Amino acid sequence: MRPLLLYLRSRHIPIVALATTGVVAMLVWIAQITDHQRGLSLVAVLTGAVATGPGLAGHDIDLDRIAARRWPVWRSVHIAAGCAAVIGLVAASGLAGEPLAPVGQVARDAVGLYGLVAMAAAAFGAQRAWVPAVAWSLLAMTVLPRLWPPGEPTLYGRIATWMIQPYHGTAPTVVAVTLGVVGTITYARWGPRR
Amino acid sequence: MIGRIFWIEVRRSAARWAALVSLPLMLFASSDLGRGSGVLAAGHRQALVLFVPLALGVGAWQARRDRRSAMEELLTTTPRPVWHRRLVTAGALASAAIAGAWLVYALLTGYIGLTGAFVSPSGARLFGVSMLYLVAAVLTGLAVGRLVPWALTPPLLTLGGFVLMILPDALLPVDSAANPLPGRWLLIPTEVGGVGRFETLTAAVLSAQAIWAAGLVTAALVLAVASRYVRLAAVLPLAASVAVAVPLLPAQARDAVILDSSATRRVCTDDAPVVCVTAVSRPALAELREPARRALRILRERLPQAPASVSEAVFDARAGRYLTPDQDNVLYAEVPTLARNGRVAVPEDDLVFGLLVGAGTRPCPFASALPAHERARYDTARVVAALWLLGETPQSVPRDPTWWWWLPSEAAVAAAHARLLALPVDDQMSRVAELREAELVCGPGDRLEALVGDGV
Amino acid sequence: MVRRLEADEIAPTGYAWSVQAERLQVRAGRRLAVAGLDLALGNGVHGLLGPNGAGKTTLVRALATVLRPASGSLRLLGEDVVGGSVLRRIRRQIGYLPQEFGYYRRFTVREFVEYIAWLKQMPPADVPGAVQRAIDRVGLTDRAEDRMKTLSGGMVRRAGIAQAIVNDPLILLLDEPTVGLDPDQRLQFRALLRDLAADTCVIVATHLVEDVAAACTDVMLMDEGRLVFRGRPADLAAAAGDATHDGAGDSLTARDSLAERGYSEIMRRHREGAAR
Repeated sequence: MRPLLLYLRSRHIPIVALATTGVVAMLVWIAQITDHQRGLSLVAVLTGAVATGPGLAGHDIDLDRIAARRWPVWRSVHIAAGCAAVIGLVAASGLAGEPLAPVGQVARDAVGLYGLVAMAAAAFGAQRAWVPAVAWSLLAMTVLPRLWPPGEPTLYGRIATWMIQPYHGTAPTVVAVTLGVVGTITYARWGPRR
Repeated sequence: MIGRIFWIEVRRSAARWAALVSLPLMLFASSDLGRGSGVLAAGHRQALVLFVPLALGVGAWQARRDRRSAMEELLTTTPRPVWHRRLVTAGALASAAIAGAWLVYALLTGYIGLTGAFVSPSGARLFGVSMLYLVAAVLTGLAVGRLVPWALTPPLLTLGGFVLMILPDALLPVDSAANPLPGRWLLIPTEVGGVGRFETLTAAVLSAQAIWAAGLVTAALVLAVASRYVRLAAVLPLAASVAVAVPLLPAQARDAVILDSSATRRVCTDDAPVVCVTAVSRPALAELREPARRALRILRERLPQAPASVSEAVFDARAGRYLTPDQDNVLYAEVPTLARNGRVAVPEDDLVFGLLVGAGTRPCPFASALPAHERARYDTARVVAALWLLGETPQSVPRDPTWWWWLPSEAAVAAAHARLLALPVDDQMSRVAELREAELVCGPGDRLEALVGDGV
Repeated sequence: MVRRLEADEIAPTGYAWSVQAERLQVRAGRRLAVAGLDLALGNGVHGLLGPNGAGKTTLVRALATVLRPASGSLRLLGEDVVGGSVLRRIRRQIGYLPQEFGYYRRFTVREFVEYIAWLKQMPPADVPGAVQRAIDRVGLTDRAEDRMKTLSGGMVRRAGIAQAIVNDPLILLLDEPTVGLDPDQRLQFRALLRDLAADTCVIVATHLVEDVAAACTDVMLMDEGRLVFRGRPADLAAAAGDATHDGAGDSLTARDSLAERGYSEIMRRHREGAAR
């Protein structure tokens, strides 16, 4: 138990969890006064994913790396637990009225985005891990749909904007699961960079 | 010396990312450049929902540089006032943002010019105001990153900025005749008043937006650069810009939009019969020429008084009527079937059909205010006239929902068409000619009644 | 290339000591890290030794004007350290290398030193020459156009020394400057210190007694915020000779240097005296 508590404290997880809960609550409130339900559910999942980012590396990366811990297990659990937490958080918004989005959609977005953040942490470092997830999602929500005829995205279109597609499509789900698995494996194996 | 330091900052700070923020504008290149750079600028303004959050993130990321680099202790021992170096950093970031955006816009506009589409001077002015908003976003990111130096500030500010930018879209009441949108809403960055490809904002509104954006830039700069108590002075430029900008705005948002005279300038073919389009539609002129002349020929064959040339109709929303054509006797029609790349999107036969709707006239402005039932009758009369001129059956009416969604039901068209054909041949011709006359002057009356006789 | 001297540089100074402190007290957080120190330092290399937590770094920070004294008086270059233009005037003549030296990773060495030179409000015309001279003096000439993040730890430290000396400061404060330097570079560093001793008040806070013994003109020992010993390096070595080694738990051997043994002896004596 104690190692777990120390780990949580070293990665600032309690504060991050509190901040994420607050932000998601605010988003739910905003969703209730406007119409952009689906966009805001994606923003909520993104909030959880980016909040996890800095916690993916301890204060001294090299010191962590030589520690005699089974890091692949710890890291995988870290990602999976964060992902599950944000799914639960956003799904719990359904208790306060209409849910932000169907649970299947939230789950798919979370798996894919958390995998993306993990991969970015392994590639660019924990501080920069949020960039690909946020940039891709913002592009998908705003300008990427212009590349295809409105309302009828091609296969490439659905892959490129997978976060905003309805959750029963196959291509977006495949993309999300691939990102989730590959990202978690990459991060678990190599850990954060620099 | 300060020039050298500035150049070092541009090369070594996050300025390169500030320049790259505008790169997604290239995505517009795939399909949206055919309608001219004015449309590009308006599209960019609306896409600020993407660019502003990205700029906020870049600014906030830069603001943490000193803490990330553990330079803070060394920096406190230097004599130069803190605001000097903060100003240089802010200037480097802002310059890079502007340079990157203008470079992308210039490239795309150059491409537009090379392909013969419309290069709009008013589009450049619109883009200039968007630049001010972008700079304000970068500097606000710097300011917030300084005031709240957490590791999570850049991503949360990006996401928060995005939510803030899409909120007006959700909260905005829909602009309608009964409930006009107040002019104040034009201060929202993404608001362009719904300008179409022929339109632009008035100079007063552009100035108001520019002044407001400049106020934002100044306030953000003060917050990013100044030290503790001087920061409170950021309120001043904000208040001043609002005080100057709001009086310049019209009472209603719809009054902000005027026709862009450079966009509605006529471009005509050299040979007769003359086909004229607006400068905006120029890329389509080559494709329009033959179908338009074919429509002219059909009108000449079938009607006693036929027009001698074709001209594109332009609707002046502010005045509530169409611009008058150059001459009296023209086939004056809208060219609505232009795709996003400025080309004609429908097959030639459908295009001829579209030109002959209403016997070669554009829909009258009063028709858009008609209730659905009467509107259907109005459209049916115009479609039947086209069918009569072409000598075709109702089955040949185009069906593509993208361009022909407004057509009335096939049953109604078939019924009216049958009734027209039941009349004597001379009667048919005179009635279609009367329809054309009525549509040219936009007189009152039920077109369908006049066309197919009594009691429908 | 010889630097042109300004008139006010060769004029006699208006003050007796570069650094003058009376009953100086400085807080580090809530602790009183420097507890009543009297100091009068002129030109020369002054070594500052002491165990961990003695207050060396806090003292150096106070002299670098990072920290404000809690009480007592501190005069740098003849002026009281108060805020405003006096502080700026003093800071133009100070060079500081912190113990935890942070830097902009993407800047090249030359750009970084130039940036610090700008921050120290050096006259713009002098900057390029001064930067080149500083880089040459620390031996980084062939790495001057490389980014700071490509340098090894020792080179980073030398770049830190370069930024500290770029403005030819009258007070030079170096906190652990030889960390990461290999023995050859340490010798070169000591030569640099000796070179600076003539017209600069250099204060070197370090654990490496050998550096102190070889390069410093005088040595100060600190313990628990107070000055325990002040004298020449030879006096430090001489104290080793007086050492009585029949105390219990003695870990000194003949291979430990004279200076280190002297240091250890003086600290032991001080603590025994304090305990009585």
